[in-house]
Amino acid sequence: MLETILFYLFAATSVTTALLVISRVNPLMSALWLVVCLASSAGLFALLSAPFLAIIQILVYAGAVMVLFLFVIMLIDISKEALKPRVVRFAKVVAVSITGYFTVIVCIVLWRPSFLPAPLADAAYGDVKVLGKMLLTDYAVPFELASLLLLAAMIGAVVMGKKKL
Amino acid sequence: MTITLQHYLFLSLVMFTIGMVGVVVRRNALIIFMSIELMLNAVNIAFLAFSRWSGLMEGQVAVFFVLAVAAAEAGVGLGIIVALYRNKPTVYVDDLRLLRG
Amino acid sequence: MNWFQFLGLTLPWLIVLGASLTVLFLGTLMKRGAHAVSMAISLLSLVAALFLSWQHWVADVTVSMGMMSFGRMTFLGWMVIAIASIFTVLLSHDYLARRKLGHPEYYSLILLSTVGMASLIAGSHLMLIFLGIEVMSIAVYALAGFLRHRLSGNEAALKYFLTGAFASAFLLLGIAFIFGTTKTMDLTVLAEQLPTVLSGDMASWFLFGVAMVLIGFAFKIAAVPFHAWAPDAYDGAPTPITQFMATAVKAAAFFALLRVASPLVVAVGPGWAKTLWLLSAATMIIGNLAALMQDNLKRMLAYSSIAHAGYALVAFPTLSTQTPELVHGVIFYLIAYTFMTAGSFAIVAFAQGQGESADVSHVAGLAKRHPWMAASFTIFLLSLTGFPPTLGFFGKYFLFSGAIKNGSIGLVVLALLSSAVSAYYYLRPIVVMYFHESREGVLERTSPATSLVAVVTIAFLAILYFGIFPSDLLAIVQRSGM
Repeated sequence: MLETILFYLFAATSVTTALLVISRVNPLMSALWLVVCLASSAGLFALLSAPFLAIIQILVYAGAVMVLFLFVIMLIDISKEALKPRVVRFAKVVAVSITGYFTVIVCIVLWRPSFLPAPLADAAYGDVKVLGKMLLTDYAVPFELASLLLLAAMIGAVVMGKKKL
Repeated sequence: MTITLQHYLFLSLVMFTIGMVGVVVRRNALIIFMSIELMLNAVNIAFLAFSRWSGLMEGQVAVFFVLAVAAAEAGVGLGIIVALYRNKPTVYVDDLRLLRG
Repeated sequence: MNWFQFLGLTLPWLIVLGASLTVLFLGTLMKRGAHAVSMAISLLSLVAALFLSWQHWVADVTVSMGMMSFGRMTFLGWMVIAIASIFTVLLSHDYLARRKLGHPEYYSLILLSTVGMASLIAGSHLMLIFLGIEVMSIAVYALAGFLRHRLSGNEAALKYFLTGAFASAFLLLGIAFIFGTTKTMDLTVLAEQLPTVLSGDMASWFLFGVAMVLIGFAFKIAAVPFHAWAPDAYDGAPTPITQFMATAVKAAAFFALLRVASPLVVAVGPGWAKTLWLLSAATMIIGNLAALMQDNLKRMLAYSSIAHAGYALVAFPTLSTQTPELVHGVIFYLIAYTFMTAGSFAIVAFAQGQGESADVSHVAGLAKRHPWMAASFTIFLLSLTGFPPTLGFFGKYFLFSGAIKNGSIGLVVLALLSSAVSAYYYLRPIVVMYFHESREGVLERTSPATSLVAVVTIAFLAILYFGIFPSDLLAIVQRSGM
């Protein structure tokens, strides 16, 4: 019962804040709502027995990445006058058609198999130990590649951001 | 009422769609980028739900990588936005119309 | 897993990775000459990678380990991207030196990007393929905006980045649904499970996943209607990087698509064949029609690259594990395309000189001043059009004859018609080169840099040699298996 209540609480928060993220004129407000959205998603992660990822989500995503966002928004400091609720032409039509399209897909996708409650997970499921072991054994090659990804991103960010190379 | 896999998938697809609408409709590069982060977050929920229902940890590993990718993209993407802002103080993609034709 | 064997097999790219780090460190230690040294190191490492990949190809090892499957096809893909990156590095030196932008970070990013491509080509696990795509793309996002002081460079990088990240989200959603329905992300296991999944009640979820993965890839290879970013990104990026995006990135994406498509799309059925049919037809028609209206050579080549992706897609609707001739047709075409596009961009980089971009009028009078350059450009353009006996002709021939054998006659007719249209915009620069007087100061009197001449010569010789003896290249491709 508690799980059901928590799910609806987190889901409602995530969706509401996601809508706020895409509808604010000021990117600063969007970024703050995105933090709330990511934090409530972290709650969902915890409900899905992924406590480690929930913590990572808050530490890295809602913490570090969003702080980076806020830094950049503050750095470029767009003046109040320059902020306009600018959208593409026929924005409503586009939004409605995308939503309609996705509704159809959601119906097709979700209706087929029978609705199943979560199977009982064994004790090891979601354990950090298991996750860590997988990352460094089966997934060793992708793990190394992820480190290259971060290196490439680091060089890229320096190249882009530094005033004088 | 118990929560089923479909509940999570529905939530994930709704958030994905919200992100997609944000990317297509908004013209502010920062908000477009945040909408992409929303889409990635939606994918994470789907991965974890599938992972939980199949009892395989692979989905959790995938989420770990998605978080790494999102962080890397944030670094480069914000760098590009800062570099752009140095040359022209705007974050609106429709102010950029040098490359046309 | 035998780590020694794994390291031995991936050695070509470990060398490239080592070179990338070396270049990065050298940049901090050396003040003068860092540019030339970093270019030389990058070049050497890529040549070593090419040579070692060739050695692997000759040794013909077929093994799967560490989420990668090695085989002749993998090694062939590695050779293609190594060659394309060698061209990029050669073109870059002169281009950057003229603009006083010779920073080692540039070469480091190119090398990292090729390592990403190599794992993308070898990957047999969806997560590894995804990470490979990301390493490749993130490096190229930064490279596309390397002319940071120019608004056009920033614009190109921003547009490329936003669409690329958007596409990644689709790709990931697709991977999530494929994982959810098949309980695996390994392509070999996945292929075995396909019949059970498709007859089960989760089939619609699986199809949704495949569709999303397809959309993600369509963005990466710039297939219509997911192509809008390509002309802008190609135009604003530094010319060597445009060449890199058009050849190496595209070839790597196609190699990965072939690997992903053969288990996924193919087994799924006729509905997908129709979607791919439409994708291919729209891509070549719109690419060619839009290219007709371009005066800017880089934009023209960008649309031409979209059109060529459309031709390569001709093979996909009827692709399956029983049709090796289609796979070989696509690979042969990619190799041919790599040579002729790399050569064309070398000429564009030359005609551009110090300028920001190159119009068709920039090559006016090239025939008088640099007859060899003009002759090579003519060959490249004729090859892109598909005139016999150039490599481009045989590329189209093998690709289309394979497609006809498998029954996509309508699509091949469309492809032939649209490549007839393409003759108009490919021939225009030739006419301008030979018959128009050059405008004063547009074409510098300076002779082209040695490295640029090297690119043009290699591409020219490859097109001519394989144009006269296409069976040599075809034999290499055919002996690579599937």
